[in-house]
Amino acid sequence: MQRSIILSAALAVLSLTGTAQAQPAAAPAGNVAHGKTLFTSTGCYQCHGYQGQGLGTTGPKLAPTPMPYEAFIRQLRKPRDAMPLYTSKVMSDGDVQDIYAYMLSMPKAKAAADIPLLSRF
Amino acid sequence: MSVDGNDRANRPNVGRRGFLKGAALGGVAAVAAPVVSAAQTANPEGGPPKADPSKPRPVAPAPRSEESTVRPEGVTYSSCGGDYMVDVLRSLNIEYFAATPGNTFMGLHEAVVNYGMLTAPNMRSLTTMHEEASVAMAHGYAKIEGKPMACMFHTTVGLQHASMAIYNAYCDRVPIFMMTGATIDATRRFNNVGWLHAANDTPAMVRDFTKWDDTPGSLRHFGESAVRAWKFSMTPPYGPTLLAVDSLLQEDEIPGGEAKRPPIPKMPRISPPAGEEGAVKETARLLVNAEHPVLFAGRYARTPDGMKMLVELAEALQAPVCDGYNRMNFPWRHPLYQTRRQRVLLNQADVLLALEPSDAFGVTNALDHDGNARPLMSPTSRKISISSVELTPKGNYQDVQRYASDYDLAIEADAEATMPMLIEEVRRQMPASRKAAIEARGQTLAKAHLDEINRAKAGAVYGWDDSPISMPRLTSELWNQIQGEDWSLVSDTNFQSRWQQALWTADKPYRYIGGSGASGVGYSSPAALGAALANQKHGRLSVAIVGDGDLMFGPGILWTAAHERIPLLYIVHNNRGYHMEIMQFQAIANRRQRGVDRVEIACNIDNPFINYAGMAKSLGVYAEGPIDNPKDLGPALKRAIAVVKKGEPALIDVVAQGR
Repeated sequence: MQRSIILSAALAVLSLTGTAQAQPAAAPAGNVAHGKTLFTSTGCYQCHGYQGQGLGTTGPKLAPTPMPYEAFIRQLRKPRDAMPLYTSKVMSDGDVQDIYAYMLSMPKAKAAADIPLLSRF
Repeated sequence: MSVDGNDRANRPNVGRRGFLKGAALGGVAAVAAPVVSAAQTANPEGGPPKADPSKPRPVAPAPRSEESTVRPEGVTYSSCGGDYMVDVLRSLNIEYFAATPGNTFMGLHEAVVNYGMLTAPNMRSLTTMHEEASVAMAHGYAKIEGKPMACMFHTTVGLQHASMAIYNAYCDRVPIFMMTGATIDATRRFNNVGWLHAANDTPAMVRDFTKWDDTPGSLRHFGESAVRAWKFSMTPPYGPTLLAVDSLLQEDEIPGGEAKRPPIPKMPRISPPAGEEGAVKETARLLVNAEHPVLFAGRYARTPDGMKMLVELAEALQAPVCDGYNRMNFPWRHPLYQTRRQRVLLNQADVLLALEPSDAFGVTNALDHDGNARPLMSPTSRKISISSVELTPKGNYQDVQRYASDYDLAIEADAEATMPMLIEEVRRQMPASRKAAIEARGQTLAKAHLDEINRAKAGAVYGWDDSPISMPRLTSELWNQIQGEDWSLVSDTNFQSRWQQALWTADKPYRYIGGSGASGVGYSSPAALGAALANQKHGRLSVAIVGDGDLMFGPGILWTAAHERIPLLYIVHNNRGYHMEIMQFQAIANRRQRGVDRVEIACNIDNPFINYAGMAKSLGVYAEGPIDNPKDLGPALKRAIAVVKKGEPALIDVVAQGR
C-alpha cells in the first residue's frame, strides 16, 4: 500500500484528527485515522484482530500497548515466525508509522472483573 | 470355496430370465405374466406352468443367458446374505449404519432397513447426502463412544467421495467399520454404468490410509473378515478398515438356505500392546528424578480411563501436562494443566514424556521460514515417546511427520495401555527425599495455572464489544448458556484460538472430541453430528462451532440432522472466508511485493454473503442469524439450546472475527 500523503501533509492532518497519545520517545508521529484504514486494508486484522487484540496462535496482541516502534517495524521488514513480510514497497515507513499510531490510540479495555461473563471464569 | 459360499461356480445354471427354474422354486408369483412355451401346459391349479413331456423342450432363443453367471431373478427367497451380514454387524455391537444409497450395496442396505431395524438388537440406518459425511459421522461417533459404527458406500465413485474423510480418520487414529459394494462378477454388471462403477481391486484406492481391507469371496469369509476388520480397527493404533462386499453375496439367498447359514465368528477380548517393562522402569526413573519433567499428551486418551490415569501420573509427579488438543486428555482446569505455557516449560525441562504425539518432532522443535529447525529444549534434556503409531507404518502418505532425531527412547506401544505399569513404577521408585521438592513444584505450577487463567481473562476483554464478534466473546456467551448442562463440545477449538481450553471447565472424557486428524476441510459439521448421535442416548447437550467454509463442503449434513432428529447446536463461525488461506495468501503476495489488496478474489466467501440460517431452515433445521451484534448472541443461543433440548438440531450463524 503506497502512502498517499507526504509526511508534512500528514502532520497537518494530524493536527485535525489528533495525534496518538503517550507514544514512546522513539516512535515517530503517525496519522491515526489513516492507520485505522490501513490496519484493515493491508490485512493486519486477519491475524491480529480488528482492534489489534491478538488472535491466539495466529498473531499476538498489538494494542493498546504495542511493542516498541523499532521492534514493530523490524517485525514487518524482517519477520520472525509466521509473520508475513511487509517490505517498504507494499507498506511504506509512513504507513507503518500510521498503523503504529493507530495501535497506540486504542483505548484501554475495561477490566475482566467488570464484565459479568468473564468474571464467572 | 466353502459350501456356504456364493462362489459363482457353485451357482445353479439358471438363465438370466430363469423362468423355468423360478417356477421350480415356486417363485412365479413374483414373475409378471410368464410366457408359456409350446413345451409347457398351463397349470389348471393356478400354479406354475408344467412341462409337457410329449413335446420337445424349446431351444433357448439366444445364448445370452449362457454368457453370464446366472441369477435367480424373479425368485423370492426367505434367507439372504444381507441378513446374515446384519447379524454379524450386530455381533460386533454396531448400532448405526450410515450411507448415501447406491445399488452395489442394496442387498445389505435393504437388510439393515427391513431386518436390522425391525429385530432386536435394533440397528439404525442413517441417510447421508455424501459419502464423506457418512465417514465423518462415524469418525465423530467413535470419538465419543470409543467404538466403530458402520458406514457403507457405493463402489468406486462412492468410495472416491469418501476418501478424504477416510484419510482424516486414519490420521486421527479413529476406528471405523467401512464397507463398499462391489460387483465382482463382470458378467453380472449392468451395461455402461455398472462397468463405470467397478474396479478390479476396489479398496486399492484407499489402501494407503486404511488399516486393513479385504474382499470376501463367501458369506463365511465375510463373517470372518468382518470380525477381523473390527478387531484390527479397535487394536491400537485404532484406524478405519474396509470390506469390499460383493453385491451378489449381499443380495442372493444363503446357498442351501437358512440351514446352511454360516456361524458368526467369535470376537476375542483385545489386549493392546503395552510398553516393555525395562523401558517403562527407565522412564519412571528419569521422571521421578527430574527437576522439571513435562508430560505431553497427543492422541493419548482413547478410553475414559485414559484421562483418569494421566491425572494420577501427573499428580504423583506434580508434573505439568501439555495437551496437543487432539483428545480430551486432561481436565482443563486442573492445576497441572499447563498447555498455554508449553514453550516456557519445554525450555526449562530436563525430561519430556510424549504420549502418542501426532508430531514428536514438532513438540520439541520450531521451524523458521526456510525450514530450519530450532530446538525448543535443552540438548542435555532427555526425551521419551510412547507411541503405537509406529507399530503400523506405511510408506506413501506422510502422516508419520518429520523424523524426531532428538528423542532418546521410543517406546513402541500404546501409551494408555502402558500407563498402569508406568504409574506403578513411578510410585515404587519415588524416593522419600524427593517428595518435598515435588510438592513445591506442584504449588508453583498451580500458581502459574491460575496466573494463566487471569491472563486469558485479561486478554479476552479486547474487542469484547466488537462486530464482527470476537472469539472470547463467542466462547464466553456459549459457556454462559451450557455451563449448567451435561455438555459436550463436538468440534475442534483451533479456529477459536483455543479460548475454550483457556476459559472453560472440562473434566469429563466426552467434553471435547479434538480435531479432524488430517485437517481435511469438510470434517467438522458431519463429525459433530456423529458425535451428537453418540451423545443422544446419554442425554448430553452437544454443541459445535463449525467454520463457514467447512460447512459449505457438505451442507447436506443439516438435512441429515433434521431428518434423523439428532439434537445438536451448530454455531457457524462465519468469518466470511477461508481464513487460514487468507493469511497464507497475504504472506505469499507480500513476499512478491504485490500487496494484499486482491486477496479477497481468491479466499473470501462474500459477494454474495451466504445466508446460513436461511439455508438451514430450508433443510429443516431451526436457525437464527446472521448475528453480528454481540449483544444479540446470548439470547439467540438460549433460544437455540431450548430447541436442542427438545431433541432437534439448531443453527446459529455468527458473523465473527477470523479466529
